[in-house]
Amino acid sequence: MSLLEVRNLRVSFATPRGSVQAVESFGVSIDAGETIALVGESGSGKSVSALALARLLPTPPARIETGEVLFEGRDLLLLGERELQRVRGKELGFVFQDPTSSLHPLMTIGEQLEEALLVHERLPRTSARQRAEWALAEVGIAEPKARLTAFPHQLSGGMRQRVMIAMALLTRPKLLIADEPTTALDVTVQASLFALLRKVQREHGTALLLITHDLALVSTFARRTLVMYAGAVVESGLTSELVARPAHPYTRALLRSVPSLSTSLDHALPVIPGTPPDPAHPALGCAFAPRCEFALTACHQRRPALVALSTSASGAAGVRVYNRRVACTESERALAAEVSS
Amino acid sequence: MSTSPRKGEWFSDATFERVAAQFAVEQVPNLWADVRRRLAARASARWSLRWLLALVLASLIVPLLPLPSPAAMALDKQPKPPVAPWVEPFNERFEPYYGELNPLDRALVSVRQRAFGEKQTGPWLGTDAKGRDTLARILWGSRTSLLVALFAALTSLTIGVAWGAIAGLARSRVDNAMMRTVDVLQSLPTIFLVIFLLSFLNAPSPTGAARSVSRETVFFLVIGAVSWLPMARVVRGQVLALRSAAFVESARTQGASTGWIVRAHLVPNVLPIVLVYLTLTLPSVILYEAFLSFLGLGVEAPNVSWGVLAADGAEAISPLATFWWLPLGPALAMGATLLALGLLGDALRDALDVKRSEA
Amino acid sequence: MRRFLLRRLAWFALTVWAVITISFVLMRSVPGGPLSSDRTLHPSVEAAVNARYHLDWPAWRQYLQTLGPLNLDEHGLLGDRSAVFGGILALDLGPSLQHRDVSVNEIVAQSLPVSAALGVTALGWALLLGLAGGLVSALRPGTALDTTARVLSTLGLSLPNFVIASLLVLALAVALPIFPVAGWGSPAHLVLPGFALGAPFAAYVARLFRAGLLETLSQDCIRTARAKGVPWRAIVLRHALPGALVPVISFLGPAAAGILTGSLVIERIFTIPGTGSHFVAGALNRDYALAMGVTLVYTVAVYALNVLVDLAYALIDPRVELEKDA
Ligand SMILES: Nc1ncnc2c1ncn2[C@@H]1O[C@H](COP(=O)(O)OP(=O)(O)O)[C@@H](O)[C@H]1O
Ligand SMILES: [Mg+2]
Repeated sequence: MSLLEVRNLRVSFATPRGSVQAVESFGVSIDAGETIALVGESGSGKSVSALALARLLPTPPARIETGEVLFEGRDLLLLGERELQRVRGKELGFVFQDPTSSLHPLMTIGEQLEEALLVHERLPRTSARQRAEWALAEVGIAEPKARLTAFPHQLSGGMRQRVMIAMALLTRPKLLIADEPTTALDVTVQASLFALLRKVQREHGTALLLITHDLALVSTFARRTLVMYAGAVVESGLTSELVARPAHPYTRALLRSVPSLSTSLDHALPVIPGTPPDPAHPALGCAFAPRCEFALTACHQRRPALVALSTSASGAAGVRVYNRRVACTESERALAAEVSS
Repeated sequence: MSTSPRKGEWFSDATFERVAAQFAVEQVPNLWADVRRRLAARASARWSLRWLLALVLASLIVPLLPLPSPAAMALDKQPKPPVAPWVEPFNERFEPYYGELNPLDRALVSVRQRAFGEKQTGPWLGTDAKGRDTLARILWGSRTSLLVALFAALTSLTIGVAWGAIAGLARSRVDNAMMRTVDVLQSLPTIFLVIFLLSFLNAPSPTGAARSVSRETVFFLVIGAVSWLPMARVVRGQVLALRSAAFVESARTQGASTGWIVRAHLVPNVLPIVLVYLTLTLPSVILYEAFLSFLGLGVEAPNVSWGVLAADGAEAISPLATFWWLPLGPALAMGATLLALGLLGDALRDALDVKRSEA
Repeated sequence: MRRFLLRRLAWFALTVWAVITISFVLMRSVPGGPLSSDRTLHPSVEAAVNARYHLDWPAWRQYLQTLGPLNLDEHGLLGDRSAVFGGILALDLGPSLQHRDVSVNEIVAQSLPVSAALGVTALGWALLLGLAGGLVSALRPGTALDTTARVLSTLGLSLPNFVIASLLVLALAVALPIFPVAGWGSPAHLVLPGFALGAPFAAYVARLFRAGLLETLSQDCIRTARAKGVPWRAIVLRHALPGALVPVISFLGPAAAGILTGSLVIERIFTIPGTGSHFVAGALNRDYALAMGVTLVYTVAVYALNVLVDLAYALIDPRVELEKDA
């Protein structure tokens, strides 16, 4: 049994201009200790999915329309508020995108770290403090004792994110969800933060759902990758394979728009033409069809489901692809184009 | 209406910034149409506007209406309770005593006399201890409140806005000096000084000679003098924020002249906040007037104001005899007007989205 | 911290000096002396009175006399021991011109506790009703409870305190004689005037607190706390409350000033023998010393409260640096 199994999660927001379908269908399955990356351009519903599965979205305006979130076999969407609180922060840790706004500005680092321990483990204050200090040391913060009494604004952005990581790991959760943990930070601290994440994750055997749009990073980090577009998972599979042989035209486009050092400057970086769809007005057919180079008329009319890529399809393209799920009827052609290029 | 997401309802994300930037440009031309639509969509805003317009109209044409004179007394010794309009719609006891009137009002009153003769409304809202008609006094009294509001609005819009804008645009030393002045003026207990001033002017002059400045003039000057301070502060803040805003910077780097930047960027972006603050200033000034009049430092008889009426009403309360209509009438009039201004201000603030642009 | 207090002290001195000077100039620039309404006085009596209060002195000397123990005699030297009072720097507000045998200090000493009791009651009402209303509104936004609280607060904001006072007296003292109509002496005498005085501020506090709570509750750090599994009640109390109280606390300064101002009217309506009614009487009777004395006392009170508010502000929010923006 996998640690977390999310199926068919649908989330909408009630706005003054009507309902917005932020997540149309999200699903993921994570085993204990495993790392999974979730990529997609901004607005594709990554954060909303991650928050929705722990019921962290404010309702209203958010509404979870359908779905199952099985965490160790229990459906989080059906739990009472009390039981849910015992899962959040204890079994399931979060690291958010912007450490500056995610830390409470009026509480000391120590208070914020200890809080989870006091809530979940009912530790006496002194030992909670001791654990908080160790946790800070573990994430590589110098003089952890002194930092306990500091306020977030007295730390640098990178340090704040380290504090967030320490906070999330303090209770030894089984799953850590990190939502673009370095996007708000300096490029220079990104690498060290990822190294840190990786280290603590290995040491504690924590499973990690890493939300990012850094595709280069994904390939070194996560065994499996999920690609989201317009609120739906459009492709999933082993990262190395997916990066090498994308089967969904969107994944392909996404990969091609990643700059690399080898991209010469006289070639314009290929960008995905067009704009992401407006979630307030969902299209009838495939959401990517209007921007897709492989789109046929049928693509505009029916939305493809996320299905396993058949061996025959991959075989026809001249490659063998395992464990791949794609939401595209033309994946065969996309794959073939990728192989021939 | 555009489908662009409004900031704040969304997770801040690069996409949204991009979309928002597109619409920020497009929205400026139809901002006011948008505001009007949003105001009209709100029942409280509609009713507030109606009430305020009706009040302004009534106070303008009150000399023309077939009301009793607000100053004509009948020595009844006892306030008379209200008589419902359907019981006594009109009577023929009009007495054309108004005290001193300005020429325009005098002309209006004589028109009224020619049109309605002796006819006047019955005591629909009762009379006070001197037999004066409460409804007439409330309507005439509204003129004081509105005049004070108008005067405060004018000083806020001229002195306040100019002061704030100049301080915001000027170099830091000038700015500092100007804002320190505002600070000092604001930290003074003005109300006490005002009471001081007015009470001295209130006392009979020792020689019996006419005073060189009338108390009412001072009264208005004083209200004008205190009402522009918050406006100056707010406008300066907004101008400062705008000065470093990205779109102004970009206009500047594109070589736009200062005059153009002021006209194209500052004015349209300062206007909303000025309007909203105006809706905050007006009630406080109306309260200020009522407060001073209540203490007997406002308008002088036979002129009347809501504060004077409220004071009379408060005095008329005693456990022995309840002349409830005396406090109730002015309370309702003032309450409704201030409520209307407050609701309108709220609606305007929401429609203009001022709080967000302030941040 | 020390620098902050020193700086505030300097501002304070400046304000007090400005108040004294402006009142002094206002008083002297008006034709007729303080006693000019006593027209029946015999000239010789008037001269004696003038002499007693130094009204015969030149203006600059009176000014110095008012300011402090700087009694210069005619030769410009120190040491006119016959001065009647020590001046404001010596904390002596001088003799009342109206109540002939009482000093302003005595009047203030007698009436200030009364006004303070009224003011504290009003502030208590304002905080009690305002915080409760704001909390209920913010935790159940959009419900009937929220709407009711907001309508009440809009009403409270649009009725002047004397109107509220009149209506309250009509309802709860005349129609239903639960509370006394006016007067002073028992705690029951405090209820209605305190409420009438505090109501507009309660309305404002409710608004500020509602907005503050909604704002803080929607912040990212609240999401973090929820993600940590902190129970909702603890989130509201420990995470949201301090931030939401900041605007309320910074409103306390203006609120205190407003309550003092309002007490001028409320004390009059309820015939409460407080400092405010003495001030109004003093001003109306051209009792310079009394009016100026009360003005100064109120200035000091408001100023002190503002400093306290700033300190409280810095206590709640570690990002506030007192030295920087004193
Ligand atoms: N508070 C909100 N109200 C309405 N719509 C929202 C809100 N938050 C997110 N959305 C919708 O959810 C979509 C996905 O957002 P998000 O999950 O933050 O994207 P990502 O994290 O992939 O960049 C957005 O395109 C937007 O339409
Ligand atoms: Mg996101």
